[in-house]
Formats: sequence, structure tokens, C-alpha cells
Amino acid sequence: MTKRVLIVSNSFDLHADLVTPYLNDYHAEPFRIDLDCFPRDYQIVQLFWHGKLISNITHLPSGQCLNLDEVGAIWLRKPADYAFISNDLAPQELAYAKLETEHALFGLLYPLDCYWMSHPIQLRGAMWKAEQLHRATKFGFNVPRSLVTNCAQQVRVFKQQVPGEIIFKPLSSSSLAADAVAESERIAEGIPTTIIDDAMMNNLEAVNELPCHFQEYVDKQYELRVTVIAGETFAAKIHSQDDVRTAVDSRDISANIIYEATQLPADIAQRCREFVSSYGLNFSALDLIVTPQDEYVFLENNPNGQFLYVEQLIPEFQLVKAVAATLAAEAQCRS
Amino acid sequence: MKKQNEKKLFAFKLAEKNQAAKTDTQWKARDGVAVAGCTGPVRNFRYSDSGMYC
Repeated sequence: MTKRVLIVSNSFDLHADLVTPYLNDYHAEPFRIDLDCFPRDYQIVQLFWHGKLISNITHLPSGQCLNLDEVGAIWLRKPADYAFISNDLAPQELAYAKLETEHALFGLLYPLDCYWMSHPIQLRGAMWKAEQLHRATKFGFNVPRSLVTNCAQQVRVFKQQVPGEIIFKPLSSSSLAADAVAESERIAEGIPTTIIDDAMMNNLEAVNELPCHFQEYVDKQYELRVTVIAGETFAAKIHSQDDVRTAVDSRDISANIIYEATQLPADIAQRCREFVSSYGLNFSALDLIVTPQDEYVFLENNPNGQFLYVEQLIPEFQLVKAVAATLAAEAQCRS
Repeated sequence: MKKQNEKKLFAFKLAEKNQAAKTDTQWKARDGVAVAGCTGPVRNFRYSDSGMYC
């Protein structure tokens, strides 16, 4: 039986759109579950019968059907809010419906003995920033002095002890959970990594309300986005210091800074691969700083990070094709 | 629901200060380039990861 690739994402995922034609070229017969249309536009059947498990899913608008036995590889991309036939479920009905959907979906997927990019257990285990820093030190990376606390006084002490500036960056959501509330309820759109000035040091009492994440500001020569796909590293050198908009937080892509392919020192590349592999991940994207003294500093790991922008700025990387080739090959070898 | 006037959380106070200083807190698009990072601007992505798979 020729094994297929299952993509789990949402209908506005451009990465998935672009990987799909390659999967077709590789005859991997991709099937996509768009979670923002699930379960409304899909029909699932998971039947236990005389000790045998039969699972299939049908995309109702197209009539495409997937027998889960056919799945050789899953690309678990991005989550989304589920959709239901009735859009006026009572709040408790809706809350229950979301829980049941999650349970039904992952109960369908977890039994699959296939290649995962990447498994939700590994993804969840890899997402905690403080744990990442701790693990990075064990792999020999330099990491910035960091503090997570809901004690304002601890922040004052931290600031005094750090030689230069300190920065604040959210642990969970740079958009400050703006997407989790209705537009009419939105009071902030988000926050980039921000240097804490004296005025904000006078507002530290607010830290007592909620644990906050502070780090020493590390001077940069340039930054690196290291995408690891099935053990292969693609290192993008980001000239973030060439523009004031990207000097502190390189994610403002409107700044016309240079991205270029670079070769990591062998030991750093190996460290990146081993770090990703230690979580059992088959994909991840690491953010590193290279200091003016040529030291490599680990910032964070993005176990399901975006990579399309990197390829658009460095076309030679062909990351989209690399992801597709990996998924197709892994599915194939399970045929 | 009535919106509170004073932000209580440090991150929101900081975001407000950035806004007052007319610092862009919203990452902008560059023609032909997708948004960087694991969580993009809310305006461009209806849903972000909320850290779940990021």
C-alpha cells in the first residue's frame, strides 16, 4: 500500500499550500485537515470492531476520503478554532464541543504508527522558554541571563546585577493574546521584545500580578535563524543591526535588512541538531545571536516555527521542498 | 463587557507606553515576504499559535 501524507493545519496556512504541490509531485497523495473547518466540513469514523480499529475521514465538500491506515507521515502544522455546523451554540455547548473535538481528533491520530513532523507530545514538551534555556546550557550554548518572576523586587535586583540593559519579552504570546478575544475587546495588538527603560522600571509593581520574562540585552553582531529539517541545518544570517527597526527584535520584516545563507561552525551546527533531536522533533527553528566577540548565544527554539519568509529571502534554501521531500520519503518507506 | 481603563499587567502597560511613544508594536509586511517568527501580527493571521505549536 502506498502511504500518504496527512497535513493538519488551517485553511489560511500558506506553508501548507506551498508544500502540497511538491507532495503531489512525489506521489504522496496529501490529505489536509483544516482545523478551522473541522469538524463541520469533515466526517470521521473511528470504529473498534472485534478487536480491529477502522478509521477514516472524509472531506465533505470535495468527497476526498482518507483511510487512516494509509497515512505514512503527518505534518502537524498550526492550530485553529474549530468550526461547527451550528454557529450559535450556547457557550457551554461550544466549550464542550471544542473539548470533544480535540479528544476525537487526537484519539484518531495518536494511534497512527507513522512519521510525525512533529508529534504533539514532543511539540508541547519543547515549547517552554525557560526549559529551552536550561536545556541549551546543557548542550553548551551560551544563554542570556534571564528571569521569570512575579516579584517586582527581584526584577530591580536583576536590573542592578546585569551589566547593561534588560529586555522584556512575553513567554507565550507576542500578540498579547489579541487573537483570543473579539476585536471589540482588544486593548493591545502585541509587543515586540522591548528594552526596559527607567520609566518602566517605575511601573514594576505590575509584575506582581503575573510572572514576567526579563533577559539581559545581548549586544549583537548579527542574528541567526537556524531551521532544522530532519537533521539538516539551514542557517540564515540576519543583518538585524543594519536597521533600527530590527536592532532589538528582528521580526519586523518591513525593514529591508539582508538575509543570507551562512555556514555554521561544525560544532554549533551539531549542537543545534542535537538540541532539536533531544526533544524528538523532526523540525524546529532556533534563534541565535552572534555577539561582536563572535560568541553564539541561544535565544529560543520554535518547534513549529515559520520558515516560508526565510526561503523567500534566501531562495536557495528550498525549505518548502525540503519539508515535502522529507514527508514524502518518510511516508514512502512505510509503504 | 466594559473595557477597563487602566492596564493591570506589565506587558500591557509596556505596550501602551510603546503606543504612546508611537513605536510600532505591529510587525509590518514586506512585499512578497511572509511574516517572520512563529506568531505573526493579528491583522495578518486570524489565529496565532498562542504558544501551542510555536
